Amino acid sequence: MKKKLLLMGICVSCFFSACQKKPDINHAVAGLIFQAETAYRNGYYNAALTITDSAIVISPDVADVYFLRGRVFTKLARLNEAEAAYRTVLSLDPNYQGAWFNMGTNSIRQDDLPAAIAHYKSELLLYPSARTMVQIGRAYADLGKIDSATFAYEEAIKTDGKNAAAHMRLGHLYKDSGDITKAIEYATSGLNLDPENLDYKYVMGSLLLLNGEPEVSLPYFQAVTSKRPWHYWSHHNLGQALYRIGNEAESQHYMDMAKELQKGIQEVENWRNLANMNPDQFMLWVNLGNSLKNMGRIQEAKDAYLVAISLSPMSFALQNNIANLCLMDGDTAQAIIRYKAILSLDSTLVDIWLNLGVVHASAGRKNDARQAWAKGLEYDPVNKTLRDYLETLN
Amino acid sequence: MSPFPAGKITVLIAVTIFIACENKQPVSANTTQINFTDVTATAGLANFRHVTGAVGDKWFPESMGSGGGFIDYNGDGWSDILLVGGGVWPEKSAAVAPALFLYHNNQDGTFKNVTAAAGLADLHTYGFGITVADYDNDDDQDFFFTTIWQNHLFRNDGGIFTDVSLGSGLEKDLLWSTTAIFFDADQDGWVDLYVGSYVDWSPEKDIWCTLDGNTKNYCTPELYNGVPSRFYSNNGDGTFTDKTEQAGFLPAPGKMLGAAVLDFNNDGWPDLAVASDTQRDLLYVNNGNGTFKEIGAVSGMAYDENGRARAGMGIDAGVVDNSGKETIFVGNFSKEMISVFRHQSGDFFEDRAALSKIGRPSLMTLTFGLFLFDAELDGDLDLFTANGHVQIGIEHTQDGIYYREPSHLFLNDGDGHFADIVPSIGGPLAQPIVGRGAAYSDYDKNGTLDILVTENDGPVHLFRNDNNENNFLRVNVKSRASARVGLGTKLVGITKNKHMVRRVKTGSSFMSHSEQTVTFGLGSEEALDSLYVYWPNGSMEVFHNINSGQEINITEERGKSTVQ
Repeated sequence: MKKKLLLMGICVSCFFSACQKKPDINHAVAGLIFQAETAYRNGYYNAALTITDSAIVISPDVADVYFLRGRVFTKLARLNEAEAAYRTVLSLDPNYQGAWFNMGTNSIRQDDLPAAIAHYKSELLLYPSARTMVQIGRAYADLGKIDSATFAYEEAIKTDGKNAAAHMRLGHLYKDSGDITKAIEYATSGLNLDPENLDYKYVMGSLLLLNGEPEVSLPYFQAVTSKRPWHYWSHHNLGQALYRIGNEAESQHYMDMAKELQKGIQEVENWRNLANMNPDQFMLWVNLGNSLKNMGRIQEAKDAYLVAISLSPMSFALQNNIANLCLMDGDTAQAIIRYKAILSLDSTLVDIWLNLGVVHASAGRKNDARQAWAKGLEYDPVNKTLRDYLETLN
Repeated sequence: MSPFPAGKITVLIAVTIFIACENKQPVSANTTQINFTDVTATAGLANFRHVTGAVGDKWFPESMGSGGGFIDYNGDGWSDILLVGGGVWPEKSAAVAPALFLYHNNQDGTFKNVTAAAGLADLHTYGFGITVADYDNDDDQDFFFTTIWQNHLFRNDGGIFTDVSLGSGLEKDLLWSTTAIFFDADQDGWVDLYVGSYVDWSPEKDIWCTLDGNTKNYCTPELYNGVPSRFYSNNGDGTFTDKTEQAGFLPAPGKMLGAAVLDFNNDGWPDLAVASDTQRDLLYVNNGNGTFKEIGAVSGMAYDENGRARAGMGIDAGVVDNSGKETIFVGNFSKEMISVFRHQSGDFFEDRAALSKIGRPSLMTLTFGLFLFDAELDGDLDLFTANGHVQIGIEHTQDGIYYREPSHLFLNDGDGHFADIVPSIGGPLAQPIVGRGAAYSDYDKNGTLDILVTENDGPVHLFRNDNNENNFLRVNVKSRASARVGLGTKLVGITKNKHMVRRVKTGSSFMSHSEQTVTFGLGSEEALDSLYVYWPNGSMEVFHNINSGQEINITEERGKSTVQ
């Protein structure tokens, strides 16, 4: 019950963030937006789009609907459709907060940096923020326009001194220009503002290593390797740092691990590039998900599978994989929802009954577990695993 | 967050300043009056054109380009020019394209095509690179030519070349070869050969790649399997033996595009730095007997600061600052800095790409040919790079990146900090080209080092160095106990203000060959106070008070003489 209330609370707050407080939104449309937002946040992208279609039929001029569609299309890497949705938002409400910003971010994904800068500047004119200035800086840096990038980051810091990303990115520019001292200064500020950020810890470690301080860099890399066992870069640099302080054996261990991880990283990048270039190809997203899962990057694997399932909703094997990943990620509720959803379409899938039972049993819901396994046995009476599991409940 | 109206004003000002910001001029090093002139046409080289054989299939090798460089084929002491013509695909075209072009130096600033007279006109293949050395110790310059099929060893017989590949031991591997380098790995007086292999490609294995999702474009090497390079030991009788595995060159990732000789640990034995395309770069340390151990990854020079392998094309190594330590430079892809790794101590190298000030200016360009040379004869090694992309029309899909790119000339301030002066001096170096091979030589014998650059599917460029303000000394070495032309000899020139370390070598850059004469820039000094010659066999000779403005020959144990 508590979890349900919490979920509802989250959904309500999401609803308010999704809608830009337009007092005259049709009540039915508001409800549909709420449902679509919930579906989107739980990865049911096709459902989110279908619900927004219904909302558009009722009221075709509600900007919030198109904004949500833009976010869904972005998740599905259908960036042209996302841009069209955002442009519709702006045609209905030229001051819609976030529309230009999201278009800018999608332009960066498409390597159209001048367009990204233009979009971000449009957002900046309406809603000045450090966050937008940082994105402008990022686009300028990628274009090689370092002075403009530096200015953007400095302005971001003046606007909001607590914007950690601005500090980190400005530090990166100083690093590239050879001023490692200043780079470390800014990285220190950034990390102080966001001390648990593993990416920032990695950057700090790298700067210290570059500055000839391998011993001081160690704890930063170790923090990353312990929480991200797939993080090739920190393993590599940790190996480098250890070698430099004379710890050759341990260095070799991390360098060997880095070598193994490197293959996985390369595979992920290859599949990601292909999937983004061909977002309508089911198997590319599946392969991306598989390669991410193999590296232990569970959330990212789930994201890739969710895109894949939107392309082929009746792939029960993939639905099962997603449910399993939800489980691995600790999201038991979503796992159960998904198992039940699969079974509602095909109740003969014994493996799904098995998995569902396991989830219930792990949570101490013995009756539910017994029911699930018994149901599985109806379809496969000789299934030894089911029988053994049932036995454990007696 | 500031109130809306004030915030809007702030942002408007900010937007305006964004536009103004990028008009600042770059800070330049002390350039003296450095100036280059494009003398390609007046030199008689304007008719040369590299061909790729492209007919629209966008086969991967067509994007690579070829090298070229300098060779004294007739032994008259003047640098002649040897260029690789590229090639055509026999299955696609009946046309015949010459593989090699040899230009004789007329000693008056012009060159004459003597390809046929030198016996090189009959070879037709798909060629890539050259490297030059006296492999048979008969006092003339031979060369090795890499191709996509069989490589060729050309023996110089009095200015006429004979293809002696068959039976040499070098003809067996029909792989896509790129850069090659002669060096005396085991110090036995006979130069050995390291030949770079690239990827496992054939027309049947060509992969369909695209930039826009619709049209085929040239692939990049990640999609192909690398093929490890080969090491051949010189048997001293005109033949070579493949000792790749015995010498410690396996396993290797392949995709090699550049190799440079150095002696980073100062033990007198040649080491080898290798640039590998999208793979880790390699550092082979000589075990003191002609076998090697690869230490690139642990040394820190194999990857960028985040452990990423970069493109890795042209490469060179030299002492560029007062530390006395060797620094390795590697040309990389666009959005990757030129690698700059200076030896620290033991096996460690430190990343100095950003600190050297080379990193940032090189970020957007794609560097192929790359070499160290003293552009202004001030005693410091400067860095030249030939740039150009591999994807035609890249500017339509990636902002800030161009297919044709200007060169970089990074002048050294004497302590390993560099400034690209091309934006400020303009001229032919600033002209956007599809740069590939690059080499240097004092072809007109005025003491300054001139530049040769090849283009992919384009002309060659000869840039004459017109910076005549400073003094120079040029040194040729000939050893008796070691490989005749003194490959591997280290020379240290000392003046009041400078301690200059130079090495007689082949290789470096991208599939190209620079002269083997060593040039010391003396600035305003009228003489070199001391010249230490460290011969490959371990002996050392020293000479004092050598006047500037001349070219001298030094023969091992026989002293020096002035070149007439």
